[in-house]
Amino acid sequence: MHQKTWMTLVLTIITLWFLQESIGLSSVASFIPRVMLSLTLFLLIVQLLLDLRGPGLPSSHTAETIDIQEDASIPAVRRMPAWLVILWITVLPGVIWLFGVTAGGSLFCLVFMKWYASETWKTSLVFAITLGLAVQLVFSGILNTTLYGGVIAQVLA
Amino acid sequence: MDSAVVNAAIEGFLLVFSWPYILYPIAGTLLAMLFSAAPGLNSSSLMALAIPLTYAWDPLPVMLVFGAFVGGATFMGSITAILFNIPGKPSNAVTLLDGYPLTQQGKAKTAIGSAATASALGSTLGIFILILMIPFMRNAAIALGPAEYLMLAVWGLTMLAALAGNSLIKGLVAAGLGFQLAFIGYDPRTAELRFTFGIDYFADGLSLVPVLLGLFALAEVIDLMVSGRATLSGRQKASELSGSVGDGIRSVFRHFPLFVRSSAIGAVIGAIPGIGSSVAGFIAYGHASQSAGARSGFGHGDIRGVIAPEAANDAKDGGALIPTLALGIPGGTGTAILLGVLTLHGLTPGREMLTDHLALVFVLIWSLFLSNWITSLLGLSLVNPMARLSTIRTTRLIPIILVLAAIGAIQYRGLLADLFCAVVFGVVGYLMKRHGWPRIPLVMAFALAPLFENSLHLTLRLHELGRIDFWSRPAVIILLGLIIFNLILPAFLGRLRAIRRQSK
Repeated sequence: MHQKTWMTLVLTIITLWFLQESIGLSSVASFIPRVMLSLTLFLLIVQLLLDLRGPGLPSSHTAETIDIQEDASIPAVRRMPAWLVILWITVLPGVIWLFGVTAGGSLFCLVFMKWYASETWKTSLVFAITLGLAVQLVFSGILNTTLYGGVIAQVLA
Repeated sequence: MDSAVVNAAIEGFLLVFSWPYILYPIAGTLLAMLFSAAPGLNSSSLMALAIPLTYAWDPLPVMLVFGAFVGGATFMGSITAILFNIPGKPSNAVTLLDGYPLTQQGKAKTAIGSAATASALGSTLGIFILILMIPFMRNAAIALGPAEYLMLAVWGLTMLAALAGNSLIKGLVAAGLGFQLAFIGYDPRTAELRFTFGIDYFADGLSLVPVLLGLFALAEVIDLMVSGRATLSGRQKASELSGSVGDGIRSVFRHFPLFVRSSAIGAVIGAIPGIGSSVAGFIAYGHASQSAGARSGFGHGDIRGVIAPEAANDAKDGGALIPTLALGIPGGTGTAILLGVLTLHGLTPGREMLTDHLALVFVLIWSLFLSNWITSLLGLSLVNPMARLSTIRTTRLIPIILVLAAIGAIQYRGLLADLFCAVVFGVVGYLMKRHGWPRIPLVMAFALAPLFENSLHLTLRLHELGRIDFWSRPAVIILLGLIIFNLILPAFLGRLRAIRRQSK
């Protein structure tokens, strides 16, 4: 399957799933969704045919790619495969769920800077502690808002 | 204009700019700026917190402070939108579409300068429209019903084609997906649960903030990490950044007709109750994109994509006061709280407010005016240190952006699940970006879908009952004219360019 086709196919399946879900709804609640879903499905089928017909462009040739002139003197940053990056991103909600916004955010910052960015322990610790203190000071101290404390704090309380 | 209105305007102006009263709007503006710069918080939270503190105050300082709260919050959210792709609140979401690409091109100063100028001038124009409307506002606000709301939503949706990017079909599919996402949750008419797939979180529907944070902020972070980009602007020193504040200010005057049209769109949409704060920016952006033609750089760092939503967003604040003060109908959360505050201090919106307390109305208006200018001037003076953030190494910036985005997602509705939602949309946004699926039509359809669906149902029901004659409503006819104009405009502009090319 061509690289471009699978995304159209996934979107088609999701739209079909939504259409199937609309079957049990009353006519009032489902009228506009069904019209919009049918139109979307029609367009997706057209797009699917277009994807299958042509060889298409490589995935880097996208509608939203911006031509950016980068300074050659800047040291390069480690590149990662997309799946690994997504894994890194999914760590954040997990850590926040466990430890709360302030502690979880700081812990994520420490781990990210030490193991992803390969910074020194000192820099990583300074960034993590500063971030935690800034979040606590601004949100809890100045703005007087309650930040999520984490499931561990809830259990301990 | 009525001499009573002129006298009240002068009296209000003198009160706001007199010592020590001027300290109230200044303090209120600074507080609102701090609140709105923090992701997930906005002026409504600040206004709610300030109610018990100001309960014992006289109406005059209350008006001064709350006017500043309304005005002070609008601009600051644009800064994080431009620099980090994180909108301070939904109304700032549109600014990131072109503001962030400008930062990536090393033009953060231009983008912020332009946003600050459009914001200050837009609010001034909005307030000017508000003052002109005071004698007519009662009748004008009553004349708008579901039929007009429906036409307004359709007008916004006709701009989707211009935002579709390279592929019209993909753009329209993305808009369809935006509708799909907006349908999730309770149906407002029948209270039936729709498309929740048995998941409780979906019952209240998806919130715009986590969707936006995911599609833009998190998707961009994933892209940064995959591409190994060293800094946001591609530069290591602030002195190497191209663009300047002066360029930003001049760009507003270079596109002055667009700025005026966007401000007018903002003021008019702000005056229509219940539409939501983000719609004005989206419609102004859509209008700017469409009037610029298919070959413009919208979505890739076009300065007009910053000017239009910023002007509309700030002009909207003035417009939003029209139904609140004239009819007691708040246009959004902020004005609803303001309405409560007015009532708490014995001020009844409507005829009494516009006759017996007209000077106080102008105190509110001038305070709003002052706070908009303070935020923009402060924003302009802070351009250099803020633009410097775009030269920091991404490896040091990414954890901060991620934590700020996480706070924004959680704090908006107080739901941790919104953070998980944002992460899912982050992955979706990244995949859409990599595979050439435009994200802007999705977000625009998601923002306009509730207005479209509710208005269509209400209009159809009223038509069935014989309570509405769709074609006899002047505002409907005007909006229909605008819709037809929108549909014809691209073809007309294309033909015009073809003729010009041939003549060359």
